[in-house]
Amino acid sequence: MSANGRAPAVTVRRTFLGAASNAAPEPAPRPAAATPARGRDDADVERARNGDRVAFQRLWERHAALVHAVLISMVPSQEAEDLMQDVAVSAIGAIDRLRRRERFSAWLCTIARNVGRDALKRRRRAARESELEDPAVERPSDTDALAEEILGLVRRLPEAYREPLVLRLVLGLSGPEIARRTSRTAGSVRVNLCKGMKMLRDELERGGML
Amino acid sequence: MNDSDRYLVERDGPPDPTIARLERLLATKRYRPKRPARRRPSASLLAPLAAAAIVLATSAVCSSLAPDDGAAPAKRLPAPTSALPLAQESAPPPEPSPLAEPTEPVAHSAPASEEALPVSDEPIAPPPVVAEEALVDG
Repeated sequence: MSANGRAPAVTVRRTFLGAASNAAPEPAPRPAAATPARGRDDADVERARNGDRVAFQRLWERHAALVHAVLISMVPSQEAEDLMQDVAVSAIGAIDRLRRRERFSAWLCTIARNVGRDALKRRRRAARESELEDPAVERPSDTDALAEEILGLVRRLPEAYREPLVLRLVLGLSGPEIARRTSRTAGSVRVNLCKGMKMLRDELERGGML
Repeated sequence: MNDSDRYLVERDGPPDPTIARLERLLATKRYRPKRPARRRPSASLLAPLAAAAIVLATSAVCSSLAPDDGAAPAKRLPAPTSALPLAQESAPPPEPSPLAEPTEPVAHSAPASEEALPVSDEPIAPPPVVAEEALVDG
């Protein structure tokens, strides 16, 4: 095993390739709360705007997975966990300025993107100052390492493709669901998904993972 | 739109093998809220009970061992109920005197815990002078 800990990932990559050529594909299970009811959101947004912290907690529990997916389309998963708190704090402080409560999830995604961009800026600045590369990510398991490696490939795609791909592949949302929850048009999400997936396939092939 | 793109966008139709495997692999990165550490109910219940028991036991011991400094018995803390039968056996209250002041029953009945643990032959709570004179005269 090399010093940078890449050996286990290569082992898993072979497993991934073997499975890809032999086993019959099955769709991944969909998350239980992929599409939270909009009516409940509207009522809770109204209460949260009036200072009801319990209502905000309910909103957060329904949308935390979406926020997390947006963040891991930008930063490593471990860092995304830490940034969740920043997104929640920003959202609590700004929810009284949310005008269209039906756009709550899209508004939350915007906050997550801003928090993610700020984190990326800090990382770049810190890397320049210390002349170090990306901070080492702890690798608890081989599967986790491979998943993180593939997410790393996604993060190198053009920005417009990253988020729809992560929402599709990590959260299991369909194109229309992504469009609804991010307040984008179904057409643009479809185009970005297809182009992004094509680029990701190319990257996987180039990396010997397909 | 081909089958692969339809599965990618609509999640409909035959699954594309690569997309399906990416879905399963990347689903491990889905957000899982951290549950707060589970608290043991026995410890949380027993701690205040134990503290209360210690306080009660300490106060009972302190009140039973306190020196008799001649303070007014009526101002002392009430004795524990468990000491009451012993107090009644060891020091039965005297017959009430018709000339006794109204304070006399209080002086004889209040410090039951001290009467339960006599340290000398002297009366623990001597009755008022008026009451003694009344008994001698009677």
